[in-house]
Amino acid sequence: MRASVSYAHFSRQLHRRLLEDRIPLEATFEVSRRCPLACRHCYNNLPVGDRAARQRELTLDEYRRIFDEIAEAGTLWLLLTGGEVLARPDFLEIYTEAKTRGFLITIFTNGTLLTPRIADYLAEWRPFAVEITLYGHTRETYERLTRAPGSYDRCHRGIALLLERSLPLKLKTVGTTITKDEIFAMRDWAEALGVPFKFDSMLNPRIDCSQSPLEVRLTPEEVVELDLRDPRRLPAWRDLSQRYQTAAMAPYVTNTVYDCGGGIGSFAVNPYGEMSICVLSQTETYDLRQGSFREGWEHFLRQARLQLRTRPVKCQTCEIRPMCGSCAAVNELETGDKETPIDFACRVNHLRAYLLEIPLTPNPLCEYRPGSERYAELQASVAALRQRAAELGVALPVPSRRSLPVIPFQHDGNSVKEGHSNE
Amino acid sequence: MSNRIEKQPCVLRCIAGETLLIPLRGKAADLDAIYVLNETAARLWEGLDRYSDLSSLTAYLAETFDGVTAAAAVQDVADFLDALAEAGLIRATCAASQPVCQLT
Repeated sequence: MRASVSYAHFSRQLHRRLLEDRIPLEATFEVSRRCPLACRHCYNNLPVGDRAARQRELTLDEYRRIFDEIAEAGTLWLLLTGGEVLARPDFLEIYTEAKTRGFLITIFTNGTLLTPRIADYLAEWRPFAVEITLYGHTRETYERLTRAPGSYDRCHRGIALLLERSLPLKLKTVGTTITKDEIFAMRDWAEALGVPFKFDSMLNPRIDCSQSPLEVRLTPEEVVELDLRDPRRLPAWRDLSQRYQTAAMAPYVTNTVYDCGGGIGSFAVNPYGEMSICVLSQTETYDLRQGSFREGWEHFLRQARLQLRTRPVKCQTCEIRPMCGSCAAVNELETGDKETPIDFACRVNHLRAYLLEIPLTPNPLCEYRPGSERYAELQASVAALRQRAAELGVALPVPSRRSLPVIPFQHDGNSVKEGHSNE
Repeated sequence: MSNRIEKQPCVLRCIAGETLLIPLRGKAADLDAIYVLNETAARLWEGLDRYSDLSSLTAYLAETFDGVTAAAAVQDVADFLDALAEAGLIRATCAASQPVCQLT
């Protein structure tokens, strides 16, 4: 008569189905790009007092209409993010409108504007998750990145408010030149609190085309060294690569400029009601103030998602594509062209793959493959990372299986030769 | 004095052919599991808007589905209500004084 299934099982089943049916299961709403922090690495923040930006933001009535439309279309998971969501004084009203439509809501916040009243409200109308980004373990590092005096204490107060109410909190950080030496102190602190923790080091230029976040971006070698220092990360990358090499994705990967789930099972809406494939995708937007969600999803976003590549690129046949941080949207932000892969992501990905001994075939379009121009130079970095792993006492994962062909032995009298059967 | 069943705030969503029960408030909204209802369970959940005790819900189910007798349905309905109560999605009150009490 009824079934209560584990959330993880349910989520996997539904996501599998969306690839066939193109259901907009996941939505991301940038509630406001305004933020009281001024983080050096941020891709979209505006000053919290930017009145012109505030005046352009969607009204509560507009949210009501859009939430009705996306609920009707089948959206289940809803991410509310910023900027800073709490820069909107009416955030709880927006949240309640979403909540009462039955979305599973995740809130991304920096935590600095949380108050007991807001935390009490969330404790009663519980979100699916609240994720707070830590910008440093020490006050000095945190505020060096945020450029906002007092923000460290306000963030920690916000975390305490959520923990006191047993809200489903997750913590995370971003690997930058400023935070890199404190990432594992933050992880240990979070785990001591009993809170899940994750970090990411893939920084993009700002959506207004400024390259300023790249000034604090780590080098590819530094990014992968962070993987070595967390024993869970490298095996997780390999699992990711294997898990997503599915036949179901093939029609979307082979020839299209976008090769992600954006526009197939997910979409984003910016603070001004413009819908796009994701928060980073800036060139194709559909104005939900002028048309319906269904029209935008069924026609505009489908066309955007299915646009074909204009030339062959190395990513099309890349076996480790599912592990890669490159995509059409970030390519465009960094290179000005959706189809030009960013070297940073490609190099990070290949460093990880070689450390994991994932078999990679030669590819004349990829400079990091055997026989290509940067292969030897990259291998020097791989060797240095292996040395670093040894210094750290990290055992690199042994490949679970080899997919290289086994060369059969040929018996010739008493000798055993490998290959060369046509001599 | 009869037990009355009170629904907790939830939204019934139909997504990709599945009928989901999404709790809105309190601890029931912590998502350890997701509640996927089949057609019978979904009709029962809707029936709770009009019927608030075991016997009338059982009669409602028997009326709604051909070939189902009240005698056959009573255990299924009771099991479903127990599961909802355990998940915090309904609560039972006594009609006279309204304290929380057992469902059965």
